[in-house]
Amino acid sequence: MKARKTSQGVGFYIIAILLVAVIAFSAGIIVSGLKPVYSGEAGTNYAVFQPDRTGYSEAKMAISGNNLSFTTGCRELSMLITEDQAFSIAAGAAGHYVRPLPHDLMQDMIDNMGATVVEGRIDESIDGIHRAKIILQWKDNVLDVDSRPSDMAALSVRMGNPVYVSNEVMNAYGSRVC
Amino acid sequence: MKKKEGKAVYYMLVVGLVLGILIGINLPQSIQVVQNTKTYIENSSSAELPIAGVDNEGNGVIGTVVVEVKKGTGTVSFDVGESLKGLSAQASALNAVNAAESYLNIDSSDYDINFVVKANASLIDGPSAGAAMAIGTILAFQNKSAAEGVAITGSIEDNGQITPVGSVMEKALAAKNAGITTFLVPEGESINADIQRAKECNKVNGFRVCRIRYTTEDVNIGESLGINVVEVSSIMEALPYFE
Repeated sequence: MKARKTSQGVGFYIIAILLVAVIAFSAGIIVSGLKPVYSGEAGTNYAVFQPDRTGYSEAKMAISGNNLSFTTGCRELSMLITEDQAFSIAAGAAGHYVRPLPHDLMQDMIDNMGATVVEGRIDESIDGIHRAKIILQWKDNVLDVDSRPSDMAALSVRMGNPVYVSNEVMNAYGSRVC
Repeated sequence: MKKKEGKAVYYMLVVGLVLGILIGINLPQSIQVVQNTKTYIENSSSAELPIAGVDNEGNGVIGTVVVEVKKGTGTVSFDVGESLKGLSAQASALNAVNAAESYLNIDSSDYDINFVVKANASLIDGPSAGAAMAIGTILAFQNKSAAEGVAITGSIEDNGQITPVGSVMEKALAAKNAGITTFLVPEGESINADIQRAKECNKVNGFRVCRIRYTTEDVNIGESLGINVVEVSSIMEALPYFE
């Protein structure tokens, strides 16, 4: 009788341990889903960083000669840029490689480090000079860095990320196109 | 009828007079070639001025330019001793001669003008000594020597306009260290745009968000270095400081 009791007790403990293991395993999966684990590809298991886009509108970019323009709805923000920057934007947009330009190098480095460009944005104008930002994400790290609008545009056409323009800047410096 | 015509002629004269005065007032000082300060030298004359430049590492250096003017056949030469000379420096020597001719209202084709540049640099190049060369040429033609303790940096146009150059802060520092008390700079360049890079990181919604910002701070060169920095836009404005 005593021996039987002991054998039942061992089985109970084994089942209990297995049950706890299963619960822990499930909990681990749930937790890992809430706080993703890096798998080598940015954005695959990590939540994508969502910048505050209040007061911003997504813009379409266009390059014509040395004139770079951003259009949101019926307003267009245009700026003159240097010839080499214009060439880089046009080459990037066409997927045309000549020799690795600085923006091609930026793309290669960002891509191969497993990072992504979340977005580019034009957010302010100081003394009539427009300022841009590039927001990058790598795992759960975000880099929000100052940029010239032309560099932001040249990188964005290569990375395929969206571009936003502050409504305040667009209303102050943009012209009506429709 | 005649009365009406008379009135019209009168009004036209008044309008013409007002327009003439307005245009005259608004003409840039440098192209009002009414100086008529013709001072032809007998045989030869020279003037020496400090010049400011930067070395290969971007540090400011002070050298000298001696402008020698003598009777001759209208040649302009640019002598830099053992150093190498760049094209833009030679071009600015020609601009300096044209600006001096324009200011003095003379034809220098009966004179040879030689610029002798002495600076502790392996390559003498760039347009920033142009204004100094033009002033040196004028002073040499006027048989005057340059006032001590004054230096100028600036590119020169044929019409006497002084236009912007780079590294003014570094040049001003070198000028101060060389004992210069008044440093003339092109218009708008007495303020140096000092750009600072700053990085700041915070936790936002579980992300480590870092922001890199480049901010511009205007620095008054004269105040920060303790030297009298004066903006000049033309030879006419700059010359009184050297006389």
